[in-house]
Amino acid sequence: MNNVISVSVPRANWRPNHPTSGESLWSVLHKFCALNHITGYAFGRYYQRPGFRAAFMRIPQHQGRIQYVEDLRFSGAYDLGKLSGAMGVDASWASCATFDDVGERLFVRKRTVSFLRYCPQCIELGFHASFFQLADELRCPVHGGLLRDSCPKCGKRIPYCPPSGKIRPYSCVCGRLLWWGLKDEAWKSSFNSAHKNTLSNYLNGLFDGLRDRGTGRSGLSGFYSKDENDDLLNSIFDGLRLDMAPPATAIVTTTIRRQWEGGFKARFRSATRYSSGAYSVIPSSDNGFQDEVVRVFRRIERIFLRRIPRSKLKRGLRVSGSVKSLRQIALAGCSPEFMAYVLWKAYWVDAPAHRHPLRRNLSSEDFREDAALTRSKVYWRFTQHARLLSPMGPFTSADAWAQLHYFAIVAFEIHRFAEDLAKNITKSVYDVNAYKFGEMYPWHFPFVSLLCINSRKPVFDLKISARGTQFHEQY
Amino acid sequence: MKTQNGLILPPRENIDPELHPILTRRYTIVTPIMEALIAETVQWINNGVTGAIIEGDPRRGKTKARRLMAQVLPMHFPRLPVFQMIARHYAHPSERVFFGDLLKAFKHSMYSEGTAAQRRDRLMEGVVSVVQSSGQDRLVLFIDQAHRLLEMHYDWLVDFHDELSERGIELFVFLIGQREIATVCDELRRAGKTQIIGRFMADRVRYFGIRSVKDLKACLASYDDKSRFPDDTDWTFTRYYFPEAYAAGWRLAHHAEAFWAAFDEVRRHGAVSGAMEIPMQHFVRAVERFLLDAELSAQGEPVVSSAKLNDYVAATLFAGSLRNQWQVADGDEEEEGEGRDE
Repeated sequence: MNNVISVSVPRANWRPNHPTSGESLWSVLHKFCALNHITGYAFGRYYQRPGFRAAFMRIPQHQGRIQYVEDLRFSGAYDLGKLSGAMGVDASWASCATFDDVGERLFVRKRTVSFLRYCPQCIELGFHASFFQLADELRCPVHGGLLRDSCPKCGKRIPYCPPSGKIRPYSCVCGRLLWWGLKDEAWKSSFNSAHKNTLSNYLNGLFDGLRDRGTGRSGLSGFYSKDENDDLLNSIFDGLRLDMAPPATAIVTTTIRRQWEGGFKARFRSATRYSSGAYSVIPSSDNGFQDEVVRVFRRIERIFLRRIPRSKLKRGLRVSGSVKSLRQIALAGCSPEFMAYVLWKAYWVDAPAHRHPLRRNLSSEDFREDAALTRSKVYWRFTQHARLLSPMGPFTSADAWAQLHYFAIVAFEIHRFAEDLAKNITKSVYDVNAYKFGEMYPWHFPFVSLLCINSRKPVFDLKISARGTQFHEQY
Repeated sequence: MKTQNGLILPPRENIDPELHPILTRRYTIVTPIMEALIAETVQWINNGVTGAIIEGDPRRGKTKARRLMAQVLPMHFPRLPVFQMIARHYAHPSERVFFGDLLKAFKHSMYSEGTAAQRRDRLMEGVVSVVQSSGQDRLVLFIDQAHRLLEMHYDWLVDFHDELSERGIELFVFLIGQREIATVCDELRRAGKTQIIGRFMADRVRYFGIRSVKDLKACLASYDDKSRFPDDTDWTFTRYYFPEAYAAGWRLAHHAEAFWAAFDEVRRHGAVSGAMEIPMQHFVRAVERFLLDAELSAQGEPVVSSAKLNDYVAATLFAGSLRNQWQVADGDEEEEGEGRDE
């Protein structure tokens, strides 16, 4: 029959004018599953390439369990061509939806994050780009805002995986919907033409920068082989953003130098004062400074909460060390804001890293005075402290990001201070369960710096033991 | 080479006889009742009649008519979404299965996935998107074997209809089934289910087979003029099997009365009472036998003898089929009569 008079019926539900160019597989997949009322598991059964292995990643569950989920940074076993056919759209969107063409999976995994990182304004328009997952990306090129990497409600990381029985489409595990327009009868177009141009220029710059460094072969995976020198890869990746022409609203990377001299308290009296406000220290218009702050903060955060080699330290630094250090930090007269932040991160962020706070294996020595308390009471006390010490009231979804930003600034300066201070530290290393620390590790900096806040002595010992980090001034 | 119709006429040897529709039996003869039904359906849609019953005895060509209507309606209403569903008999009918069948009718690839609510939402989303992309604000659903639908199915259809109405989409449901569906309709009316009657059973038409020589002639004329293989050539079925006779002006339609007489003879021989009605299946099989097996005279024309035609018709088990149907119909009437006496 003539196609003009007969209407074509797609094999699956989809909306016109979607997906947007540059949209990630995560976004498309979640939309597809929402429209068709299926889970990612069912999706995999229908749109799987036979003979291809899925890309998996591990996400921690309660009680130390590990769950393997599909890693949407790669198409894996998903047949995106078939998916495009079912949606009735051209398959060109798939080229920028994953990192398949960028290099080996190991290389990509080192340079990207495994949880959802998103622009709050983009996601409210129903858009998420794959390059938001790049670890070095800090801002949305369209809106210029900082990217977020946790749920606005519960503060937990959102796994970068297909929807499942637990994770509803475009939602966190806690049920918070990230895009309220998902259930509308009609989706509005994500961006206007100016935004699309900005995004397109940015994407072209990003991927052309990679391709220009290729050896002339069509695929990039050959160039980024495992045999390549890691330094070379680093230089390519680091130089990527500098080589491309910056679009109108793109970030201009600047070098931040230390601007203040003197002690921490002298420099940050306003910042450490109670309820001094989130943006009083650093003007929010200084994007470059904020970028640097966020970058350093994230590094500290990773070190502080995620990258401590727990397999070696066991619960030495994993729990008791950090908790004891926190107590010392509090005794040392740290600002209540920072204490609140640490408690907040310890409660929300650190919890899924290994165990639920309720089931945390706390030692009685760590909480000698709390020995009579049950674990739930310890947990309750933690949360109450966090709430009481919060400069902005209880930790709600509304102010969580503001707090994060505020403490990012503080943490950044602490880190800078600690870097200078660490040069003067006499390292005294003790054996801890047959494990040795041969050098001063970066993740000690926050501890060190905070312990040194009240110290007037330039030289002191740092003792890292199974019972926590201890601080001894040398007289 | 082109004929008077403007169509090409390639050499007959180029057409594979094994693929001819007369052998594969994949063709549709447009009968007068079909044309009338299409016109009636167009009127229903134009007048906003959201549902009607098309009932008829088995083997009359209702399914063929349904397929033809699904093809023809978009010609009257451009880009009108038309879907077809075959109602199935289930030992344990459920909402989940019903909406799965509906999704299958709407050609959704994931029709067997999810719970009843998920399937209903998926169906609604798919239907709305198809209708919106078509530029229409209505869609047509043909349900074949509709006599198998139960009251609960109609309730779910009412919900579906109402949800679509909320979104500004008009759903036309045409129920095609055997005469049992009239009984279902009467029961629903007695039960006061006017919400179902008003939506899906606003009108009722009867689908017949061939009931007159005139109808028979029109059907035979389809073999002469309308049915072609290949489609873009002028090789009509009659021309293909009797090329010399066709060129000389011989047509099947000229022998409509002989065919009618053969059917009548077989019917009387089988002692079948009632009005004469030829089911399309028996008619088509008899014509196919004639086209394939007819003897040719010295002039190359097929010999139309009453004895041969009687054989062809009898071989389709025409009389037995009619007798069974009349017995069933008589039995129904007797049961109804007994019920009234009580």
